[in-house]
Amino acid sequence: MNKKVLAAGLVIVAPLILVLANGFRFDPRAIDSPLVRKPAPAFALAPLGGGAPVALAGLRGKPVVINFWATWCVPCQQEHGELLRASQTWEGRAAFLGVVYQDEPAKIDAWLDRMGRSYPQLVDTGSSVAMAFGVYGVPETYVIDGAGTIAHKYTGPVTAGLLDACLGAVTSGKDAATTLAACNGEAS
Amino acid sequence: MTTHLRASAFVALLATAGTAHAEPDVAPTAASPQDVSGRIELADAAGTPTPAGAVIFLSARADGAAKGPPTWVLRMAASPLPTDFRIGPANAMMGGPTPDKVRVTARLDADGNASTRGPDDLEATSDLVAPGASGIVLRLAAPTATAETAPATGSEGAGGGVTGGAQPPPSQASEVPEGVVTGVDPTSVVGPPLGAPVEGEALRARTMEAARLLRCVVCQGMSVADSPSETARAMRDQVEGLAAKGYETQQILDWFEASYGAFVLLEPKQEGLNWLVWAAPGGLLALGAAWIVSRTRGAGAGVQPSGDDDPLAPWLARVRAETRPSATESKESES
Repeated sequence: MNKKVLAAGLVIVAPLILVLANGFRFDPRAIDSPLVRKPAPAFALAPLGGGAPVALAGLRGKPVVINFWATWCVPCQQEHGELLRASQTWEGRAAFLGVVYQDEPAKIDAWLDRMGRSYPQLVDTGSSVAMAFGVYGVPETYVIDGAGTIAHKYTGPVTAGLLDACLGAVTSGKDAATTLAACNGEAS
Repeated sequence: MTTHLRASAFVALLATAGTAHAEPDVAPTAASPQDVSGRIELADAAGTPTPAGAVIFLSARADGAAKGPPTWVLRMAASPLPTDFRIGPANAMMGGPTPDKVRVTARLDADGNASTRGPDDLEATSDLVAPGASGIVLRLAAPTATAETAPATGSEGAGGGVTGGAQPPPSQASEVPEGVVTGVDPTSVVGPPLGAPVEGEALRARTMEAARLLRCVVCQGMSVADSPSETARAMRDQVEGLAAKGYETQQILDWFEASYGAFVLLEPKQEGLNWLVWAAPGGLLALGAAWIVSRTRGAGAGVQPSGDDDPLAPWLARVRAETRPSATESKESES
Protein backbone atom coordinates (compact mmCIF):
# COMPACT_ATOMS: atom_id res chain seq x y z
CA MET A 1 0.00 0.00 0.00
CA ASN A 2 2.73 2.47 1.00
CA LYS A 3 4.66 1.68 -2.13
CA LYS A 4 1.58 2.44 -4.19
CA VAL A 5 1.16 5.86 -2.54
CA LEU A 6 4.83 6.60 -3.03
CA ALA A 7 4.68 5.61 -6.69
CA ALA A 8 1.56 7.69 -7.28
CA GLY A 9 3.18 10.67 -5.55
CA LEU A 10 6.29 10.33 -7.63
CA VAL A 11 4.28 10.12 -10.85
CA ILE A 12 2.56 13.39 -9.99
CA VAL A 13 5.42 15.32 -8.40
CA ALA A 14 8.39 14.24 -10.51
CA PRO A 15 7.22 15.88 -13.76
CA LEU A 16 6.46 19.08 -11.87
CA ILE A 17 9.93 19.12 -10.36
CA LEU A 18 11.44 18.47 -13.79
CA VAL A 19 9.44 21.32 -15.36
CA LEU A 20 10.37 23.76 -12.60
CA ALA A 21 14.02 22.70 -12.62
CA ASN A 22 14.08 23.20 -16.36
CA GLY A 23 12.72 26.71 -15.85
CA PHE A 24 15.78 27.67 -13.81
CA ARG A 25 17.92 27.13 -16.88
CA PHE A 26 16.30 30.07 -18.66
CA ASP A 27 16.68 33.76 -18.11
CA PRO A 28 13.30 35.31 -18.93
CA ARG A 29 15.12 38.24 -20.57
CA ALA A 30 17.04 35.88 -22.78
CA ILE A 31 13.97 34.71 -24.67
CA ASP A 32 14.78 34.79 -28.35
CA SER A 33 13.17 37.78 -30.00
CA PRO A 34 10.52 36.68 -32.48
CA LEU A 35 11.52 39.70 -34.53
CA VAL A 36 15.01 38.49 -35.44
CA ARG A 37 15.15 37.84 -39.20
CA LYS A 38 11.82 39.65 -39.56
CA PRO A 39 11.25 43.19 -40.85
CA ALA A 40 11.90 45.82 -38.21
CA PRO A 41 8.74 47.64 -37.06
CA ALA A 42 8.35 50.90 -38.98
CA PHE A 43 8.41 53.95 -36.77
CA ALA A 44 9.09 57.66 -36.72
CA LEU A 45 10.18 59.49 -33.59
CA ALA A 46 11.01 63.09 -32.82
CA PRO A 47 14.65 63.64 -31.91
CA LEU A 48 15.63 65.05 -28.56
CA GLY A 49 15.39 68.82 -28.69
CA GLY A 50 12.75 68.82 -31.43
CA GLY A 51 13.05 68.86 -35.17
CA ALA A 52 11.77 66.67 -37.95
CA PRO A 53 10.85 63.14 -36.88
CA VAL A 54 13.37 60.46 -37.82
CA ALA A 55 11.76 57.56 -39.66
CA LEU A 56 13.40 54.16 -39.79
CA ALA A 57 12.17 53.72 -43.36
CA GLY A 58 14.21 56.76 -44.37
CA LEU A 59 17.43 54.95 -43.42
CA ARG A 60 17.01 52.03 -45.80
CA GLY A 61 20.05 50.99 -47.78
CA LYS A 62 22.54 50.78 -44.95
CA PRO A 63 22.51 48.97 -41.63
CA VAL A 64 20.97 50.65 -38.64
CA VAL A 65 21.91 50.13 -35.01
CA ILE A 66 19.12 51.03 -32.62
CA ASN A 67 20.08 51.26 -28.98
CA PHE A 68 17.32 51.44 -26.36
CA TRP A 69 18.64 53.07 -23.22
CA ALA A 70 17.80 55.31 -20.28
CA THR A 71 19.68 57.66 -17.97
CA TRP A 72 18.67 55.60 -14.93
CA CYS A 73 20.28 52.46 -16.36
CA VAL A 74 23.79 51.71 -15.11
CA PRO A 75 24.84 49.28 -17.88
CA CYS A 76 23.81 51.97 -20.39
CA GLN A 77 26.59 54.16 -18.99
CA GLN A 78 29.05 51.33 -19.48
CA GLU A 79 28.14 50.79 -23.10
CA HIS A 80 27.66 54.42 -24.16
CA GLY A 81 31.36 54.96 -24.91
CA GLU A 82 31.41 51.74 -26.93
CA LEU A 83 28.45 52.88 -28.98
CA LEU A 84 30.06 56.27 -29.60
CA ARG A 85 33.21 54.53 -30.75
CA ALA A 86 31.34 52.15 -33.04
CA SER A 87 29.25 54.98 -34.50
CA GLN A 88 32.43 56.86 -35.37
CA THR A 89 34.03 53.77 -36.88
CA TRP A 90 30.97 53.16 -39.03
CA GLU A 91 30.21 56.78 -39.85
CA GLY A 92 28.65 56.97 -43.31
CA ARG A 93 28.37 53.19 -43.62
CA ALA A 94 25.81 52.54 -40.88
CA ALA A 95 23.27 54.67 -39.05
CA PHE A 96 23.11 54.72 -35.26
CA LEU A 97 19.99 55.74 -33.37
CA GLY A 98 19.43 55.99 -29.66
CA VAL A 99 15.88 55.50 -28.42
CA VAL A 100 15.42 56.75 -24.88
CA TYR A 101 13.14 54.60 -22.81
CA GLN A 102 10.96 55.82 -19.92
CA ASP A 103 12.93 58.96 -19.32
CA GLU A 104 12.71 62.73 -19.26
CA PRO A 105 14.24 65.06 -21.88
CA ALA A 106 15.92 67.31 -19.30
CA LYS A 107 17.67 64.37 -17.69
CA ILE A 108 18.63 62.93 -21.08
CA ASP A 109 20.21 66.23 -22.10
CA ALA A 110 22.23 66.46 -18.92
CA TRP A 111 23.31 62.82 -19.23
CA LEU A 112 24.43 63.26 -22.85
CA ASP A 113 26.30 66.45 -21.95
CA ARG A 114 28.21 64.40 -19.42
CA MET A 115 28.67 61.19 -21.43
CA GLY A 116 29.06 62.54 -24.97
CA ARG A 117 26.92 62.79 -28.08
CA SER A 118 27.35 61.42 -31.55
CA TYR A 119 24.20 60.10 -33.17
CA PRO A 120 20.50 61.13 -32.99
CA GLN A 121 18.67 60.37 -29.78
CA LEU A 122 14.94 59.82 -30.14
CA VAL A 123 12.41 60.17 -27.37
CA ASP A 124 9.99 57.27 -27.16
CA THR A 125 7.14 58.82 -25.24
CA GLY A 126 4.71 56.12 -24.24
CA SER A 127 7.30 53.42 -25.04
CA SER A 128 5.32 52.37 -28.11
CA VAL A 129 8.45 51.89 -30.22
CA ALA A 130 10.11 49.91 -27.44
CA MET A 131 7.03 47.70 -27.28
CA ALA A 132 6.98 47.25 -31.04
CA PHE A 133 10.57 46.01 -30.78
CA GLY A 134 9.76 43.74 -27.85
CA VAL A 135 12.04 45.56 -25.42
CA TYR A 136 12.02 44.04 -21.92
CA GLY A 137 14.44 46.45 -20.33
CA VAL A 138 17.45 48.56 -21.12
CA PRO A 139 19.94 48.40 -22.61
CA GLU A 140 18.85 46.45 -25.64
CA THR A 141 20.40 46.96 -29.06
CA TYR A 142 19.10 45.89 -32.45
CA VAL A 143 21.15 45.57 -35.60
CA ILE A 144 19.04 46.01 -38.72
CA ASP A 145 20.37 45.27 -42.17
CA GLY A 146 20.08 47.54 -45.19
CA ALA A 147 16.86 45.84 -46.27
CA GLY A 148 15.17 46.66 -42.97
CA THR A 149 15.39 43.16 -41.48
CA ILE A 150 16.45 42.70 -37.88
CA ALA A 151 19.72 40.79 -37.99
CA HIS A 152 20.46 40.58 -34.29
CA LYS A 153 19.28 41.64 -30.86
CA TYR A 154 21.59 42.31 -27.93
CA THR A 155 20.23 42.17 -24.42
CA GLY A 156 22.53 43.99 -22.04
CA PRO A 157 25.53 46.18 -22.79
CA VAL A 158 27.28 45.84 -26.14
CA THR A 159 30.87 46.50 -27.04
CA ALA A 160 32.35 48.26 -30.06
CA GLY A 161 34.06 45.00 -30.98
CA LEU A 162 30.79 43.07 -31.06
CA LEU A 163 29.10 45.75 -33.15
CA ASP A 164 32.07 45.90 -35.53
CA ALA A 165 31.90 42.16 -36.09
CA CYS A 166 28.12 42.16 -36.42
CA LEU A 167 27.96 45.12 -38.82
CA GLY A 168 30.81 43.60 -40.78
CA ALA A 169 28.85 40.37 -41.25
CA VAL A 170 25.63 42.23 -42.04
CA THR A 171 27.22 44.49 -44.65
CA SER A 172 29.09 41.65 -46.33
CA GLY A 173 25.87 39.69 -46.77
CA LYS A 174 26.92 36.64 -44.76
CA ASP A 175 24.37 33.89 -44.19
CA ALA A 176 22.22 33.92 -41.07
CA ALA A 177 24.32 31.40 -39.12
CA THR A 178 27.59 33.21 -39.84
CA THR A 179 26.01 36.56 -39.01
CA LEU A 180 24.68 35.18 -35.73
CA ALA A 181 28.10 33.82 -34.81
CA ALA A 182 29.78 37.11 -35.72
CA CYS A 183 27.25 39.17 -33.76
CA ASN A 184 27.78 36.93 -30.75
CA GLY A 185 31.51 37.47 -30.99
CA GLU A 186 32.23 33.89 -31.96
CA ALA A 187 35.08 33.45 -34.42
CA SER A 188 33.77 32.13 -37.70
CA MET B 1 6.52 69.19 -14.56
CA THR B 2 8.81 67.79 -17.15
CA THR B 3 8.33 68.01 -20.88
CA HIS B 4 8.02 64.24 -20.93
CA LEU B 5 5.06 64.33 -18.59
CA ARG B 6 3.56 67.30 -20.34
CA ALA B 7 3.80 65.47 -23.63
CA SER B 8 2.04 62.49 -22.10
CA ALA B 9 -0.55 64.82 -20.66
CA PHE B 10 -1.04 66.32 -24.10
CA VAL B 11 -1.80 62.94 -25.60
CA ALA B 12 -4.02 62.06 -22.65
CA LEU B 13 -5.87 65.32 -22.97
CA LEU B 14 -6.42 64.80 -26.66
CA ALA B 15 -7.73 61.35 -25.90
CA THR B 16 -10.14 62.67 -23.30
CA ALA B 17 -11.07 65.53 -25.58
CA GLY B 18 -12.05 62.88 -28.08
CA THR B 19 -14.20 60.99 -25.63
CA ALA B 20 -15.81 64.09 -24.26
CA HIS B 21 -16.67 65.56 -27.60
CA ALA B 22 -17.39 62.61 -29.80
CA GLU B 23 -20.35 63.65 -31.84
CA PRO B 24 -20.43 67.28 -32.90
CA ASP B 25 -18.09 68.69 -35.53
CA VAL B 26 -17.22 71.51 -33.23
CA ALA B 27 -16.95 70.67 -29.58
CA PRO B 28 -19.58 72.45 -27.52
CA THR B 29 -17.17 74.33 -25.31
CA ALA B 30 -18.19 77.49 -23.59
CA ALA B 31 -17.73 80.34 -26.03
CA SER B 32 -15.32 83.04 -24.94
CA PRO B 33 -14.54 86.40 -26.53
CA GLN B 34 -10.97 85.15 -26.74
CA ASP B 35 -11.89 82.16 -28.91
CA VAL B 36 -10.22 81.88 -32.28
CA SER B 37 -12.58 80.58 -34.94
CA GLY B 38 -12.75 79.90 -38.62
CA ARG B 39 -13.04 77.11 -41.14
CA ILE B 40 -10.93 74.07 -41.96
CA GLU B 41 -10.95 72.88 -45.54
CA LEU B 42 -8.90 70.69 -47.82
CA ALA B 43 -6.47 72.45 -50.12
CA ASP B 44 -7.11 69.76 -52.70
CA ALA B 45 -10.68 68.72 -51.97
CA ALA B 46 -11.11 66.62 -55.09
CA GLY B 47 -7.91 64.62 -54.78
CA THR B 48 -7.80 63.93 -51.08
CA PRO B 49 -10.50 61.66 -49.72
CA THR B 50 -10.87 61.88 -45.94
CA PRO B 51 -10.02 58.46 -44.49
CA ALA B 52 -12.61 56.76 -42.29
CA GLY B 53 -11.80 57.25 -38.62
CA ALA B 54 -9.74 60.34 -39.31
CA VAL B 55 -9.91 63.17 -36.83
CA ILE B 56 -8.63 66.71 -36.75
CA PHE B 57 -6.28 67.71 -33.97
CA LEU B 58 -6.43 71.42 -33.53
CA SER B 59 -3.81 73.17 -31.42
CA ALA B 60 -2.92 76.76 -30.68
CA ARG B 61 0.52 77.83 -29.55
CA ALA B 62 1.73 81.10 -28.14
CA ASP B 63 3.96 83.28 -30.28
CA GLY B 64 7.46 81.85 -30.27
CA ALA B 65 6.48 78.61 -28.52
CA ALA B 66 7.48 76.14 -31.18
CA LYS B 67 8.22 73.40 -28.71
CA GLY B 68 6.42 71.98 -25.74
CA PRO B 69 2.73 71.42 -25.33
CA PRO B 70 0.33 73.76 -27.05
CA THR B 71 -1.71 76.31 -25.15
CA TRP B 72 -5.05 75.03 -26.42
CA VAL B 73 -5.88 71.64 -27.87
CA LEU B 74 -9.05 70.28 -29.41
CA ARG B 75 -9.95 67.03 -31.13
CA MET B 76 -12.69 67.25 -33.77
CA ALA B 77 -14.45 64.91 -36.11
CA ALA B 78 -12.85 65.15 -39.54
CA SER B 79 -15.91 64.77 -41.67
CA PRO B 80 -17.55 66.41 -43.35
CA LEU B 81 -14.99 68.90 -44.57
CA PRO B 82 -14.96 71.85 -44.73
CA THR B 83 -15.92 72.34 -41.12
CA ASP B 84 -16.02 75.29 -38.77
CA PHE B 85 -13.79 75.44 -35.74
CA ARG B 86 -13.61 77.36 -32.53
CA ILE B 87 -10.78 76.99 -30.04
CA GLY B 88 -10.06 79.06 -26.98
CA PRO B 89 -9.42 79.18 -23.24
CA ALA B 90 -12.00 76.43 -22.68
CA ASN B 91 -9.58 74.10 -24.49
CA ALA B 92 -6.60 75.16 -22.39
CA MET B 93 -4.20 72.35 -21.72
CA MET B 94 -2.36 73.58 -18.68
CA GLY B 95 -4.26 76.68 -17.61
CA GLY B 96 -2.43 79.97 -17.28
CA PRO B 97 -2.95 83.31 -18.96
CA THR B 98 -4.14 83.61 -22.55
CA PRO B 99 -1.19 84.53 -24.80
CA ASP B 100 -1.17 87.79 -26.75
CA LYS B 101 -0.82 85.99 -30.08
CA VAL B 102 -1.36 82.38 -31.08
CA ARG B 103 -0.71 80.28 -34.12
CA VAL B 104 -3.41 77.68 -34.82
CA THR B 105 -2.48 74.35 -36.39
CA ALA B 106 -4.95 71.81 -37.74
CA ARG B 107 -3.76 68.30 -38.46
CA LEU B 108 -5.96 65.79 -40.23
CA ASP B 109 -4.87 62.60 -38.48
CA ALA B 110 -5.61 59.55 -40.61
CA ASP B 111 -5.54 57.07 -37.71
CA GLY B 112 -7.16 59.21 -35.06
CA ASN B 113 -4.26 58.80 -32.63
CA ALA B 114 -2.67 62.02 -31.45
CA SER B 115 0.57 60.30 -30.58
CA THR B 116 1.26 59.01 -34.06
CA ARG B 117 1.83 60.94 -37.22
CA GLY B 118 1.34 59.26 -40.54
CA PRO B 119 2.98 60.34 -43.75
CA ASP B 120 -0.44 61.14 -45.18
CA ASP B 121 -1.54 63.44 -42.39
CA LEU B 122 -2.45 66.82 -43.78
CA GLU B 123 -1.70 70.02 -41.94
CA ALA B 124 -2.31 73.70 -41.97
CA THR B 125 -1.00 76.40 -39.67
CA SER B 126 -2.36 79.90 -39.41
CA ASP B 127 -0.34 83.05 -39.11
CA LEU B 128 -0.10 84.61 -35.68
CA VAL B 129 -3.50 85.83 -34.64
CA ALA B 130 -4.73 87.61 -31.56
CA PRO B 131 -7.22 85.83 -29.31
CA GLY B 132 -10.71 86.61 -30.54
CA ALA B 133 -9.79 86.34 -34.22
CA SER B 134 -12.39 84.82 -36.47
CA GLY B 135 -12.79 83.93 -40.11
CA ILE B 136 -9.48 82.09 -40.22
CA VAL B 137 -9.28 79.58 -43.06
CA LEU B 138 -6.96 76.61 -42.59
CA ARG B 139 -6.32 74.74 -45.84
CA LEU B 140 -5.08 71.24 -45.10
CA ALA B 141 -2.20 70.10 -47.27
CA ALA B 142 0.71 67.67 -47.06
CA PRO B 143 3.20 69.10 -44.55
CA THR B 144 6.11 68.86 -46.97
CA ALA B 145 4.19 71.02 -49.39
CA THR B 146 3.36 74.54 -48.41
CA ALA B 147 1.16 74.51 -45.36
CA GLU B 148 -0.97 77.17 -46.85
CA THR B 149 -2.91 79.60 -44.80
CA ALA B 150 -5.57 81.45 -46.65
CA PRO B 151 -6.04 85.08 -45.87
CA ALA B 152 -8.74 85.72 -43.36
CA THR B 153 -12.07 86.29 -44.94
CA GLY B 154 -13.34 88.45 -42.15
CA SER B 155 -11.22 89.77 -39.35
CA GLU B 156 -13.45 90.71 -36.55
CA GLY B 157 -13.68 90.32 -32.87
CA ALA B 158 -11.54 91.81 -30.15
CA GLY B 159 -8.19 92.56 -31.69
CA GLY B 160 -8.82 89.72 -34.09
CA GLY B 161 -7.70 88.98 -37.56
CA VAL B 162 -4.76 87.45 -39.22
CA THR B 163 -1.63 89.46 -38.79
CA GLY B 164 1.49 89.12 -40.85
CA GLY B 165 1.69 87.32 -44.14
CA ALA B 166 4.79 85.17 -43.79
CA GLN B 167 4.23 81.44 -44.03
CA PRO B 168 5.77 79.31 -41.32
CA PRO B 169 8.74 77.33 -42.61
CA PRO B 170 7.96 73.67 -43.33
CA SER B 171 9.91 72.51 -40.28
CA GLN B 172 7.70 74.63 -38.10
CA ALA B 173 4.61 73.43 -39.89
CA SER B 174 5.48 69.88 -38.91
CA GLU B 175 6.71 70.88 -35.47
CA VAL B 176 5.29 68.72 -32.75
CA PRO B 177 5.53 68.63 -29.00
CA GLU B 178 8.81 67.01 -28.08
CA GLY B 179 8.55 63.26 -27.98
CA VAL B 180 4.89 63.13 -28.89
CA VAL B 181 5.41 61.62 -32.32
CA THR B 182 5.67 57.99 -31.41
CA GLY B 183 4.70 56.56 -34.71
CA VAL B 184 4.54 52.81 -34.82
CA ASP B 185 2.24 51.71 -37.56
CA PRO B 186 0.22 48.73 -36.28
CA THR B 187 -1.26 48.02 -39.70
CA SER B 188 2.10 46.69 -40.86
CA VAL B 189 1.87 44.04 -38.13
CA VAL B 190 -1.79 43.16 -37.67
CA GLY B 191 -3.43 44.85 -40.63
CA PRO B 192 -6.18 47.44 -40.44
CA PRO B 193 -8.56 47.52 -37.46
CA LEU B 194 -11.36 44.97 -37.79
CA GLY B 195 -13.77 47.05 -35.76
CA ALA B 196 -14.90 50.63 -35.57
CA PRO B 197 -13.07 53.09 -33.30
CA VAL B 198 -14.39 52.89 -29.75
CA GLU B 199 -14.35 55.35 -26.89
CA GLY B 200 -15.76 55.91 -23.43
CA GLU B 201 -17.02 52.84 -21.59
CA ALA B 202 -16.56 50.52 -24.57
CA LEU B 203 -12.93 51.60 -24.87
CA ARG B 204 -12.33 51.02 -21.18
CA ALA B 205 -13.95 47.57 -21.37
CA ARG B 206 -11.90 46.48 -24.38
CA THR B 207 -8.71 47.85 -22.85
CA MET B 208 -9.29 45.88 -19.65
CA GLU B 209 -10.26 42.75 -21.55
CA ALA B 210 -7.00 42.75 -23.52
CA ALA B 211 -4.90 43.96 -20.56
CA ARG B 212 -6.05 41.00 -18.46
CA LEU B 213 -4.82 38.61 -21.15
CA LEU B 214 -1.38 40.22 -21.50
CA ARG B 215 1.59 39.54 -19.27
CA CYS B 216 3.47 42.52 -17.87
CA VAL B 217 6.85 41.70 -19.37
CA VAL B 218 8.90 42.94 -16.42
CA CYS B 219 6.71 41.49 -13.66
CA GLN B 220 6.49 38.08 -12.06
CA GLY B 221 3.40 36.52 -13.57
CA MET B 222 1.20 39.61 -13.34
CA SER B 223 -1.15 40.81 -16.00
CA VAL B 224 -0.89 44.22 -17.60
CA ALA B 225 -4.24 45.02 -15.97
CA ASP B 226 -3.02 44.19 -12.46
CA SER B 227 0.56 45.44 -12.37
CA PRO B 228 1.28 48.96 -11.10
CA SER B 229 4.67 49.09 -12.85
CA GLU B 230 5.63 51.79 -15.33
CA THR B 231 6.02 49.19 -18.07
CA ALA B 232 2.55 47.78 -17.45
CA ARG B 233 1.14 51.30 -17.53
CA ALA B 234 2.81 51.90 -20.88
CA MET B 235 1.46 48.59 -22.16
CA ARG B 236 -2.05 49.52 -20.99
CA ASP B 237 -1.75 52.85 -22.80
CA GLN B 238 -0.68 51.03 -25.93
CA VAL B 239 -3.61 48.62 -25.60
CA GLU B 240 -5.93 51.58 -25.18
CA GLY B 241 -4.44 53.34 -28.20
CA LEU B 242 -4.98 50.28 -30.37
CA ALA B 243 -8.48 49.65 -29.00
CA ALA B 244 -9.44 53.27 -29.63
CA LYS B 245 -8.55 52.85 -33.29
CA GLY B 246 -10.90 49.90 -33.54
CA TYR B 247 -8.47 47.01 -33.15
CA GLU B 248 -10.21 43.92 -31.79
CA THR B 249 -8.88 42.22 -28.67
CA GLN B 250 -7.34 39.40 -30.69
CA GLN B 251 -5.56 41.89 -32.95
CA ILE B 252 -4.17 43.68 -29.90
CA LEU B 253 -2.88 40.38 -28.49
CA ASP B 254 -1.39 39.57 -31.91
CA TRP B 255 0.38 42.95 -31.98
CA PHE B 256 2.11 42.24 -28.68
CA GLU B 257 2.80 38.63 -29.61
CA ALA B 258 4.55 39.78 -32.80
CA SER B 259 7.18 41.59 -30.75
CA TYR B 260 7.32 39.60 -27.50
CA GLY B 261 6.32 36.14 -28.67
CA ALA B 262 3.80 33.83 -27.00
CA PHE B 263 5.44 34.65 -23.64
CA VAL B 264 3.38 37.84 -23.45
CA LEU B 265 0.10 35.93 -23.61
CA LEU B 266 -1.23 34.94 -20.20
CA GLU B 267 -3.50 32.37 -21.79
CA PRO B 268 -1.46 30.02 -23.98
CA LYS B 269 -2.84 29.58 -27.47
CA GLN B 270 -4.89 26.42 -27.95
CA GLU B 271 -2.50 24.70 -30.32
CA GLY B 272 0.18 22.01 -30.34
CA LEU B 273 1.72 21.13 -26.99
CA ASN B 274 -0.25 23.95 -25.39
CA TRP B 275 -3.26 21.62 -25.47
CA LEU B 276 -1.61 19.77 -22.58
CA VAL B 277 -1.93 22.90 -20.46
CA TRP B 278 -5.56 23.27 -21.34
CA ALA B 279 -6.48 19.58 -21.06
CA ALA B 280 -4.35 18.56 -18.07
CA PRO B 281 -6.41 20.16 -15.27
CA GLY B 282 -9.70 18.65 -16.52
CA GLY B 283 -8.05 15.34 -17.29
CA LEU B 284 -6.41 15.09 -13.88
CA LEU B 285 -9.67 16.06 -12.20
CA ALA B 286 -11.49 13.32 -14.08
CA LEU B 287 -8.78 10.79 -13.17
CA GLY B 288 -8.98 11.79 -9.53
CA ALA B 289 -12.75 11.52 -9.51
CA ALA B 290 -12.58 8.09 -11.10
CA TRP B 291 -10.05 6.96 -8.51
CA ILE B 292 -12.18 8.21 -5.61
CA VAL B 293 -15.25 6.48 -7.03
CA SER B 294 -13.42 3.20 -7.44
CA ARG B 295 -12.05 3.43 -3.89
CA THR B 296 -15.40 4.15 -2.27
CA ARG B 297 -17.01 1.28 -4.13
CA GLY B 298 -14.20 -1.00 -2.95
CA ALA B 299 -14.53 0.28 0.61
CA GLY B 300 -18.31 -0.25 0.48
CA ALA B 301 -17.69 -3.93 -0.27
CA GLY B 302 -15.11 -4.11 2.48
CA VAL B 303 -17.43 -3.17 5.38
CA GLN B 304 -18.92 -6.66 5.31
CA PRO B 305 -17.74 -8.88 8.13
CA SER B 306 -14.42 -10.47 7.34
CA GLY B 307 -14.60 -13.91 5.89
CA ASP B 308 -12.27 -16.77 6.58
CA ASP B 309 -10.14 -15.80 3.64
CA ASP B 310 -9.24 -12.50 5.31
CA PRO B 311 -5.63 -12.80 6.46
CA LEU B 312 -6.39 -10.52 9.38
CA ALA B 313 -9.30 -12.68 10.61
CA PRO B 314 -7.34 -14.73 13.22
CA TRP B 315 -5.80 -11.60 14.67
CA LEU B 316 -9.12 -9.82 14.77
CA ALA B 317 -10.68 -12.78 16.57
CA ARG B 318 -7.86 -12.83 19.12
CA VAL B 319 -8.14 -9.12 19.84
CA ARG B 320 -11.88 -9.46 20.32
CA ALA B 321 -11.40 -12.39 22.64
CA GLU B 322 -8.82 -10.61 24.73
CA THR B 323 -10.71 -7.41 25.07
CA ARG B 324 -14.06 -9.03 25.90
CA PRO B 325 -14.57 -8.93 29.71
CA SER B 326 -14.54 -12.54 30.97
CA ALA B 327 -16.83 -13.95 33.71
CA THR B 328 -14.00 -14.38 36.21
CA GLU B 329 -12.75 -10.84 35.70
CA SER B 330 -16.19 -9.44 36.36
CA LYS B 331 -16.52 -11.44 39.55
CA GLU B 332 -13.16 -10.18 40.79
CA SER B 333 -14.18 -6.67 40.17
CA GLU B 334 -17.42 -7.15 42.13
CA SER B 335 -15.59 -8.48 45.17
